[in-house]
Parts: sequence; structure tokens; C-alpha cells
Amino acid sequence: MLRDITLGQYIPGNTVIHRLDPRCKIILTILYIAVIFCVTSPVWYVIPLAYLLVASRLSGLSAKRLLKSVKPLRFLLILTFILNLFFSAGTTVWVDWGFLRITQEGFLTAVHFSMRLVFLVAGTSLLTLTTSPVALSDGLEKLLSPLKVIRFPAHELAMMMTIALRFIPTLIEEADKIMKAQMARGADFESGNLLKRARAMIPLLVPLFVSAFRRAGDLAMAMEARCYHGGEGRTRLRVLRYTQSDLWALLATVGTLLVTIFAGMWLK
Amino acid sequence: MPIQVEHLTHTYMPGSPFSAVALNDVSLTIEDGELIGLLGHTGSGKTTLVQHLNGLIKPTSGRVVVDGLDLTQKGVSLLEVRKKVGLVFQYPEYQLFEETVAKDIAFGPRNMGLDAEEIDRRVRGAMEQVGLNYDDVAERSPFELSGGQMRRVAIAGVLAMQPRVLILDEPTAGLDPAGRNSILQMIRDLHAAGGLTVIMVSHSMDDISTLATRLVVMSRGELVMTGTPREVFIQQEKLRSIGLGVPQAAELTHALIAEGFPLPEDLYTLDEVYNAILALKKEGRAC
Repeated sequence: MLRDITLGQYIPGNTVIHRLDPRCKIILTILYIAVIFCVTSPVWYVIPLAYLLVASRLSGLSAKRLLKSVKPLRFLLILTFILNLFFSAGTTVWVDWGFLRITQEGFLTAVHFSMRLVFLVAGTSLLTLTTSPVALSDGLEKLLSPLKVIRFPAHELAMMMTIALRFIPTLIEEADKIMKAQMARGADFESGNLLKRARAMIPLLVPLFVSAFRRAGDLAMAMEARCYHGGEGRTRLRVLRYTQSDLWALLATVGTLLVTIFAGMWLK
Repeated sequence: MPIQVEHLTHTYMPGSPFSAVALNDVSLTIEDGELIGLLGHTGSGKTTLVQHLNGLIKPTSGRVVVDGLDLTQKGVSLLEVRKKVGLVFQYPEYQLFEETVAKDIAFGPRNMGLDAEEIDRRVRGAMEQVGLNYDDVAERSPFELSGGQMRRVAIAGVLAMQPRVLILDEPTAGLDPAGRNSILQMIRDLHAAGGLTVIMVSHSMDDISTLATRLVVMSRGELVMTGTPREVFIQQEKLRSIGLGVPQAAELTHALIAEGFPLPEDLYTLDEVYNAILALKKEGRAC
């Protein structure tokens, strides 16, 4: 039931992409997003498409797996498509029902924005699929640490992220267990109207909160017992280091970005 | 009301990289009035097996038949099954949620759609069965109670549904020796008085040796041994090979036999060993 949900969706592996420095991967993702926003016409989505295909080949994840991550967004996608299709201004009219009209421009905009969404989600999920949550928050902490000068709590933020991510599976498991325990006492979570279902959640939520607080207290105590006192002067077991492949990946991505910009200037 | 488990296989998250076989072709029949000790190392599939017995999880393949009802068939009322087979989870005190003890115990009967009078009668009955004083604790918050008392409340919550089979998953885990003994005594009383079929999951050999009428031993999702405690505990080597021990009394017996004392091989309770040693002494041997 709940146990079957994979959250954080990291799929362990040992490919070039998996081994890239998480800081580098975050930068690459930002550059990739820039690439998508530099695409000026639907035709030029071939560039991020080629980029994604190469990256997915290198990471050993199938393109199908990447597309699967877009699936939860299908309603948003359809909505985006329909809104743009009907409500964009344009001159070349294809269909005209008086109050609703489809124009060529509208159609192109609709395709354009839907593609943008698909590529955004597929590309960023490549990051979360190949980077463990811990590495991800480590990378984020490092990237944000220059902001410490202006008292930005980079370490605390990363620590909170790590802990939150660490506890998602635990809490899911716990919720699953409590749910089963209440179901064994005849609780019914699946039928009835909205109000009835909301009320049925109480026997699940109360124990879940109680145990979450208990766990939080235990964790804080355990961390203090091991001398945790914030990020100041804290060293790491695994120090992040850039390697040659990070450089190559960066060059390739910057190259892609430049190609996209020039392509857009050449053909609007 | 026998429970039949036929060729039960269960795989968690099939088809994903995390897929794991928790049960592999398990067949088992549980007769009325038995007190079964379900033994196995952590991760041997005990909990997965008992969760199948009241339809909380569905088999990947195989069947579970409770009182003639095949749980794998569509349209079987799971509420009916759960009325018959009560399952007390591991650390059941973490499922308490109501404002008062009485309300929490009433949760199950309420879900069964009983009237207020009957619910009240059952709450009182269940509290008596687990040895909680109604006047003292019924109106208190379950969160104010001690760990052992909370566990009793949780068990009462299942007993109030008046199941005919009671399954307890590690009922003594995390309790102090006094709490453990009183829970075990309670289980013994429930079994003796109510004609209840009891299945108790445990990995404590000492807990189970004096209690169970039959043992079922699991390892890595498979059923490896079943029989009376005497039949099972004599196979010390096999038990050790799957990461389980034997009761301390059986261990003592084996150690003494190895030292050359002619004791019977199949002793497993302290009383038996005590009497056997006394008998030896009477024969005039040096002990």
C-alpha cells in the first residue's frame, strides 16, 4: 500500500552521471533550465532532447523512466495545453466557433509551453534520480555557503533537508503500520464522503504526530550526545571534490546553452 | 474456525529494484484452540505472514482461508474477517489515539456498528480480561499511562471486538521482566478461559517454550519446522543454523549431557530439568 511509494526516487547506480559531484549536478541542472528557457521555437527542443537522451544513456536510466516522472503532472500539462490553445492571440485562424477559436500561433504556443514543462520535469528528475538525497543536500549546502556572509543559514537548511528526507520513508512506514493496526480494528479509510474520510484520518494522524514528535526528540538527544553543535567547524566524512568528468559535463552543458542561444537568434 | 494457508507467496514492491520476497510458498493449517508460537529471526516473514491472516495484505500468490472464507476472493467482507481474527501489532501502544482509555478500546466495537450498551459492556469485559481496573483508568488519557498499561489498553482494544483468533506480534517486546511475565500470564489466561485460538509471534524462546502448544519456525520467508515445543527444541543444531537459540533450560540440558550426565535429551522447561537432576541425585550420582 503506502510502502510501495518511492519518495526521493533516488535509484542507486555507479555511472558517470551518478559519480558527478552533486554541486556540479545542481549547476548543470540550472544551466539545463536556462537552455529550456532559451528555446524560442518548438523546433529547437531537439537540442535539450538530444542533451537529455545523451545524459539518460550515460546514467543508465531509460528515457521511459524519465517520462514516467512527468506522469504526475499530466493534468497540469493538459490544462496548459488547452488554455494556450484557445486563449492565445493569433491571426491565422484554423477553427472558429465564435467564442472559441484555434489559431496557428495559439497551437504553436500551446505546444511550446507544454514541451517546456515536460523538459523541465524530465531534466530535473534526472538530477533526483541519480543523486542520493544526502549528496544533494551536501551539494546545496556547499553551493549556498558563500551566502553565510550575509548570515544565510546554509548549514541549518541543508541539515533540515537531510533530516526531513531521511524521515520520509520512516514516517511512511510508520503511517502504513498504524493504518494497518487501525484497519485490524475495523477502521475504514477508503469509503464514505469527504467529511467521513477526513474524520477517519484522526486515528491515523494522532498516533503519527505523537510518534513523529517522539522521534524528533530522540534524534535531537542523540545528535547532542554525539556533540552536534551546528555547522561551525564540522568536518565531513566524504569531502566533495570536482573531477575531470565534472569539467567535461560543465563544458558540454555550457556548449549546449550557447548552441541554443545562437539557434534561437538564427531562427525565431 | 480453522485457518488454512496454502502455498502463500508474498513479494514486496514487485517489479521494482527494491522488490523483495517476504514469503515463499508457505502452507500451514491452524486448528481451533491452538496456542501457536511463531518463531523466526528478524526479517524471516513472521509479521508478513500474520498480516495475511486477517486480510491486511494480499498474497502475491496462494490462498488464505479463514473459517471457509477465501480472503483472496473478491467481495469478501474484510470487516467480517477482522471481527474473527484480531491482530495486535508490535508495539501496539503506538496506535492509541483517543482522549480516554474507554473511548480507545471502544474504537473497534464502534467500527463494527454495535449499540452503545453493547460497546460499554465489551469495553468493561475487555479491560477485565487484560487486568485493567475500569474505575481507575477508563476515563484517563491513554497517553498518561505507563508503557505496560498502554500495551494492555491496546490489546483490550482488539479483544473488545471479541475475535475467535487472537494474533499477537511480539507482545513482550520492550517490556521489563515484570511486565513481560504479566503479559505472558495474561495470554495464558485468555487462551485457557476463552477457548481462544492464539498465535503469538516471538523470537524469545523462553517466552514461548512454556506457553505454546505448537511451534512454527520460519526462516527467510519459508516455513522450516513445525511441531510441539519438545519436537522443535530437540533440533538445536538446526535452530542455531537459522539464527535462533533454544530455551535456556534446553541449553543447560545439552551442556550437561555433553559433560556426561545421562539426562533425557528433550527437556526444555526449568521444572523438567530441575526434576531430572533431582532424580539423578536420588540415584546416587555426583552432581
